[in-house]
Amino acid sequence: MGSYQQGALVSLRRVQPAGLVLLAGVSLLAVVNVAQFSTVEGRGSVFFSAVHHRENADILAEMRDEDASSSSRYALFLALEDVAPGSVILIAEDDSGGEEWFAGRLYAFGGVQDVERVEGNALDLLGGVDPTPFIVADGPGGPRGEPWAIAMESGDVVTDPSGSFSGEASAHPDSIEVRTFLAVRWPADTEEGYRRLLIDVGLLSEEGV
Amino acid sequence: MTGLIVELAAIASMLVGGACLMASLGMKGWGLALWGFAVGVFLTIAVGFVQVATPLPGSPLLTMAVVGGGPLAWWGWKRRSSPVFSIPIVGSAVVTVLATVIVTVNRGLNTYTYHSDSLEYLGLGALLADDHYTEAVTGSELDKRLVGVSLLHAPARLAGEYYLAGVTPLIATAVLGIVAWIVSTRAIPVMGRGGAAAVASLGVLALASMNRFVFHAVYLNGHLLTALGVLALAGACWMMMTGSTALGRAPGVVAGLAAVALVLTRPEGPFLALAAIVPVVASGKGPGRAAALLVGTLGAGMAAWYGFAATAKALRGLPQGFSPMMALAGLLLGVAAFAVSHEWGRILTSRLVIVYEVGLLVVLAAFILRDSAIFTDSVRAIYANDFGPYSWWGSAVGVLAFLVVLSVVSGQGRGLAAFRLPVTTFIPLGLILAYARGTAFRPFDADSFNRMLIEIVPLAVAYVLMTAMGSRTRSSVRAEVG
Repeated sequence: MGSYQQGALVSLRRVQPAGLVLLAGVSLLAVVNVAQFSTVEGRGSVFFSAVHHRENADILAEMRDEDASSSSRYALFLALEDVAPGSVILIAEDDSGGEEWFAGRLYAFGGVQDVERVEGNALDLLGGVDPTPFIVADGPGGPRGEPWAIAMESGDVVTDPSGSFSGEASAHPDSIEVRTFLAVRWPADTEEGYRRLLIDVGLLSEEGV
Repeated sequence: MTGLIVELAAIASMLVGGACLMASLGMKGWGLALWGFAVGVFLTIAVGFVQVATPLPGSPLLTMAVVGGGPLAWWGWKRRSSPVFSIPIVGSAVVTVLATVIVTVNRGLNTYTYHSDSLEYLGLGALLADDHYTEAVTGSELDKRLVGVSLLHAPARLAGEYYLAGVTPLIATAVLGIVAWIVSTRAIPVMGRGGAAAVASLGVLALASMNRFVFHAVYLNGHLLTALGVLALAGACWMMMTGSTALGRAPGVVAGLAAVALVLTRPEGPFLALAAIVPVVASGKGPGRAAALLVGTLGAGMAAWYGFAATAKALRGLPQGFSPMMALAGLLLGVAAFAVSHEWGRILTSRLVIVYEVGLLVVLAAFILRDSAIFTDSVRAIYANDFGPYSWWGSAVGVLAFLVVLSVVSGQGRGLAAFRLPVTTFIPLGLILAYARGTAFRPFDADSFNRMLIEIVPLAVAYVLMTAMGSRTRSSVRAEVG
């Protein structure tokens, strides 16, 4: 090892002066990095920490715990996967549930097996049905998400007043059954003027879907 | 347990496929696993894209089978014809154990970090794995997220997960290893093996001690993947220019795959690739056909991806954005490749490095004349984020920028333009991207440019250390590293 180091030192003589300055500069860079590591670490949020320890390998569980902003974006979809995995979602042609990001999040995070377009007006398809008694999961939205609700024919009521879905519905007894939901912008007394509603088509009238 | 098995299988396909491809092309030595992994990553992205853009199933199992199995079969066939193509058993065992440890430790310790962008990439990975990508991807995701990162993590879906915990740390390992390999390749003729090892270790230490490098080594995003792509591309271009055989006959293949992976990973990818390729074309060194093929490959990659994006948007009635323009630029690069392959074209390209640098500045100046606010706000943000007293990088970027300037003015970096150009054009390129997206960079930790900087940091460290080894003529470098 000693001769190895000695060899390295001897070989430095073959480097031109400008090269030696550059080597010294990179050495300085390494020293500065080590000296400033913890200072830099303390400057950013937890999301930009280099060595932050996470309790959970499940990134979505971590998100629910520490990222209210993203939680509000994905809460509806995660709740859907919990209460009705493998469901089919119908989007009426006129409904803004057809926003381009909606289907992607349904597939990626909502565990749906299919998203289909149906003709007609979503509110007309909803008819006069009041989904309120059938709501099994809901949330108020947040910085990146709309207020939402899922209405099903049966099941335990799961509410999410904090805005980050708690996941309690995962034990839903009827969640094995494949269900079909209609996506509706349901007029509501919210800041947005609506709730994003997924309603089980079994609750709709015969003339509906 | 299933998740671990799936992840190990995915990593194994990249390692085996990449290493077998490199060995089949004649590469030997300790860099085989590092370059092999990098090439395996690029192959995974390229094959995955073919699956997305064609009627082939999008299943990651098919990707893994093609990436791992194809090169393995080719290597097996070549190995039967000649023992020259052998892969050392002990080395393979050590690499297998190391990769398994890195994956297992990162899974066990939950080392990953993320923010909202990460979740978008991982959601897209799920869409890719489940064959819902084309019907459900948004126009914004096609423009901003592309497919590279998502394709790497897509196998996790096979186990009901969203990400591979070990792939980004392994990319970080490959970045460190390839920096060491390139630097030591340059340094051995000057300092001998001991000195070269010391200089290479210095490069590794300078990067591994950097808080932001450690962050990016576990950050679920595409910046370090881009850094790997541009580093591998610049290294391969350097080999092409010097006629070195240190990568066997693989430099052109590595460069082409890295360029395509860059196109498929980040919006700035094609420009970073072009910056590394332009010096090859301008130098007039290396076989003209190889330079033309490389330009053509970049152009084909751009035309394929942006053509696909434009088609996907058109089918769903989404706004086209800049996809058609980029697809056209890819086709124009195809024309440029034709010119590069002929002597008359190569005369025209002799000043291409300066044309590229000045061209970027002219484009930026035109944007500034139209709207100076984005420029001034972005410059303020870049200073605050990356250079100022409360920088998210500490003093690292400031020191490194000073060393890069010193390297350029030292005049010792001749022949290293493939390393220099992506670094010295990065800030103008970033500012142009700010105009392209329509908003200035912002002074906070999540700022895009703040995170993008890592894409050229390993390249900058390699460039400075290689410059420190002094100027080389083409023939001397060929003799040294070949």
